[in-house]
Amino acid sequence: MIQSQTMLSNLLQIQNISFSYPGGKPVIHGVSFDIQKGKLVVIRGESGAGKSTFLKLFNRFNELEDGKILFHGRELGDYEIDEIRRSIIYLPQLPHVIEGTVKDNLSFPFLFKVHKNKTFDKHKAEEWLDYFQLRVSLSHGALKLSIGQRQRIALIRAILLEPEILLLDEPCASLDIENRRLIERKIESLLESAGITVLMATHSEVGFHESSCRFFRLANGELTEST
Amino acid sequence: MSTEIINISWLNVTITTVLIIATGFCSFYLKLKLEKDLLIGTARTFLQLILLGYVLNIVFELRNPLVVLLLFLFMIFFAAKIISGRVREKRIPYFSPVLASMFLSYMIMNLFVMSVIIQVEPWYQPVYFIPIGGMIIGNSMNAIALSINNWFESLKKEYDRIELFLSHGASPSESTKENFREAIRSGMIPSINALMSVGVVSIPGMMTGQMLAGTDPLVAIKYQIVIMLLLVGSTALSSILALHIVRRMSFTANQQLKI
Repeated sequence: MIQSQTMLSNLLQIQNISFSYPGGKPVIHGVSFDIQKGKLVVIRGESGAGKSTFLKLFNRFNELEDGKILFHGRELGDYEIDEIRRSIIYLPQLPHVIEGTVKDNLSFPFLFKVHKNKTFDKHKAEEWLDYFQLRVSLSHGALKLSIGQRQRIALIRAILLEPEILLLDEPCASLDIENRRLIERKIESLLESAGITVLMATHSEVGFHESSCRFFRLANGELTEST
Repeated sequence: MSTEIINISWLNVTITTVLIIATGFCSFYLKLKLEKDLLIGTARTFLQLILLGYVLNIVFELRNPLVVLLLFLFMIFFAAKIISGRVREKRIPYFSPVLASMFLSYMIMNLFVMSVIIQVEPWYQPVYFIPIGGMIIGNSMNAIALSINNWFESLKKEYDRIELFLSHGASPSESTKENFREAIRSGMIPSINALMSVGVVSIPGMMTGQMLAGTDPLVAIKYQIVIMLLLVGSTALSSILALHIVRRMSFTANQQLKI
């Protein structure tokens, strides 16, 4: 995990960043703000507003066109890609599960070279299953899970890798209200229990407490803070 | 066994076109709309093969290694052109690297057969080098096109899964291990199937040609066995090399899918 060199309270400093796809108009334009460790940042906006594009700037799936993102005070572009992907995990909108058991789905990232120093801890995995109120065993077939259950599996999979930042792309998009509130509650308490910073994109209303999170609205490439 | 080959007169070659004319009538009668293609195809067959005959005549006469290699490169260039025409994905500029990997692998294979197996002196003897090279190119060209098409199709189909793997720290090769294997397999299967059916279902073209030219069938089969194995080897080497390059080109420097 990337260690902080100084006691910076700002985990991420976003300085006047812009991004556009080749030949297109800017999706993100002149955005600046700071994110403290352990905070939840919610980016709201219509479908197609560029929320996913914005999130993907942080794990460098998309490369900045202009401006800087500082992570622990150092420019994101100066890190090796492996370092970034170890510390910042992007969760796509679709809660993708692979063929096999719940355990296969939670443990496959541990086979990747970047995580060779980590080992899959079965007990920890079971604790997280419990935390997310998933009453399934590790040997349960993953393809039999519902969308809501798959979404929670996807979250646990990322958490087990102990990232510093989680980028959640519409994590509740295809869930019913009950599952949505459950995931939101769990994400909120995750900030304290696992010390993870969360950036979340959503087009729908969310039920987070104002004390724990900051709300932004993305429209026409501009990001404005809202309540 | 040695018989003098019977030369066909140009008049008799031309008479064979009655078969095409008859096919044209069938096409017209049954409204198959193949008349135009039949005409163009027949004209091209005459033109291309007459041209090839003259070119080969000159190349065989000259026996110059540079000329042989140039003709070989020319053939590979057109094969690479055909591949890029057949591959539906156009956003990734793989033409030059694929051409280079084809040239490298065909050279290795052709030199191996020329120098070690057939033991031709000198190694570039055009009567051997060009026809055998042509068979290698024609066969593995199809395999490369199949592999590359299969690769891009599977990337599109599995985009979400691959992005998920990448976002959890997988390298491009870790996230596409199975896609890569499947793409190579799809290109290799026709050559391997040919190994199964050769001599039972059909008498291969090269062997037929040799026998028509008076070669003993027992000599012709040895050539045919060498060629069959050579085709599998060259198909494997060229498609693995080409697909390695295509895989690298399918991802950005930041390890994100380009398509």
